[in-house]
Amino acid sequence: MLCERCHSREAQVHIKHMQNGAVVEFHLCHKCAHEMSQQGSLPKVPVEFPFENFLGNLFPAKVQKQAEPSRKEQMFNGFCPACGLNYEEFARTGKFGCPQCYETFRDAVRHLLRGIHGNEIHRGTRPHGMASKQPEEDIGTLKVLLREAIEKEEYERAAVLRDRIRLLEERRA
Amino acid sequence: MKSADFASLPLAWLSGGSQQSDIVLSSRIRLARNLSGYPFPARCDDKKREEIAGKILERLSETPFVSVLGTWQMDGLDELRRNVLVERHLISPDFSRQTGRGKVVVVDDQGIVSLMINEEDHLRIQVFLGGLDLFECWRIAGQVDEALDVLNYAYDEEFGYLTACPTNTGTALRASVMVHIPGLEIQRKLGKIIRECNRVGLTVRGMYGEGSESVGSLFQISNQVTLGQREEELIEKVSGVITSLVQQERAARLKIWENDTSKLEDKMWRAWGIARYARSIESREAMQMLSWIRMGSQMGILPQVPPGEWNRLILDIQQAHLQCFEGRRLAEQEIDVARASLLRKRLANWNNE
Ligand SMILES: [Zn+2]
Ligand SMILES: [Zn+2]
Repeated sequence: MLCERCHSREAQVHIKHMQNGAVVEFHLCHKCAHEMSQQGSLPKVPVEFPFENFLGNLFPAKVQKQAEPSRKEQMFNGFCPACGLNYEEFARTGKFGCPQCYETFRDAVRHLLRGIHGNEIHRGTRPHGMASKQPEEDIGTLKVLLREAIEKEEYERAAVLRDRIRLLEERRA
Repeated sequence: MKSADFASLPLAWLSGGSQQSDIVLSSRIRLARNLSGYPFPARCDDKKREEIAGKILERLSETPFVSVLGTWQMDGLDELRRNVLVERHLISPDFSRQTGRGKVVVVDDQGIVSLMINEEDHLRIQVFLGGLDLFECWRIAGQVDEALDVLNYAYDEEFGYLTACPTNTGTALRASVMVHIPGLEIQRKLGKIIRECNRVGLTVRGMYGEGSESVGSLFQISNQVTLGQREEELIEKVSGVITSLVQQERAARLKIWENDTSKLEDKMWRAWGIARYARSIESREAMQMLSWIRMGSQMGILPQVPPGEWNRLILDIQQAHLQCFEGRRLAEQEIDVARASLLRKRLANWNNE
């Protein structure tokens, strides 16, 4: 992403800022962010603003308090059993160690993906081998997830799940 | 392969495309895939990465519609050749700096499909075409993807394709388009365009992607979000924004020309003069001059440089390319001299001043 002020350097400072009652977003390079805050057209910003911190606020400090740690998380004490990555390292680097990490940290991953993509339910293509799998299976899983989401009062997610179930039901019809 | 041949690996997009190719240089679809049962490459040792690469290459050799021109182990390539691959957008700058076994780049003989094996993910499929042609790129990438998916991809019913970085999870699809928009840059509309792109979930970058500066009014625009929408929806969004950008750019050029014809023509002819006669020229300046030349040529003001030749020029004047043509490493000053000499010779062919 390029800096929206000079259009030539990479934007590395991302700021949400209240201005006249509206939220304004800035995506700036270090130099422009520094200059703008010197001019007073931006709130003072720390000039060092690494990616980790930017992603960092998307991670729940711990796996969300109200969410029960999943069975796997309790079992492995926050370590991925397949690759040994622990939750702290995952939160610090923002990178997974192996595909199994998604399962290990599922609740936290959901939160993270929603922060990044505004969504956590895949609606795109599936691997060929899986296409033969009965769609009923999917819908069953999704309905369980939907019930969970409603119980946790996560209505946005519930809406997405409901759409996904509808989509699968249409496809089956 | 000789270094000069390496710097001329085929790239289909160079010869232009059928749609909007006055403003749009290239369209690219990139898919990230991983094999289940293996850690992501950063947590694999040499042996595991070689095993993964072996599986992918074996399956690829059984795939009839990808005819492989070259398969290179990254640790078998010198720095110059690695950098040429980066300049040709066949590998990422990150990949060119990685060490260890089992890191492989594959290029097809049409210059359309390329693979990076064991970069951040086990597999990156990349498809490049000229002009605005994302849907065709997607069709081709989908075919390659389907041929390889017997390898048992890491996939989750809820999250989709699983990738090392959560910013790619889901479709793991990046659709990007390279545009040349000098008119909008002259009209100082870039800030507004970047903001609007960001607002609809698209990212704007320089010619060489993340962290690169923009040169010669060339920009890469791509989708930021990969999860929650179907591939076609993501592609349609990028295509739609680009189509409107192309119209804005055409209108901007006309307006600039109407407002001050002689000033614009002067700028263009000066650029032609510098590119035609300079004895030493830095990369940034050369890209700027070529930008004027492309625009001037298209507006019928400067001599006609065919789009394919222009596309080749912006790659051939990059520093690793120049050194590969010379067959040796050059000092910085020598590079600028070689660049000026290449520009002089190549532009002389279109000299009907
Ligand atoms: Zn800036
Ligand atoms: Zn793991």
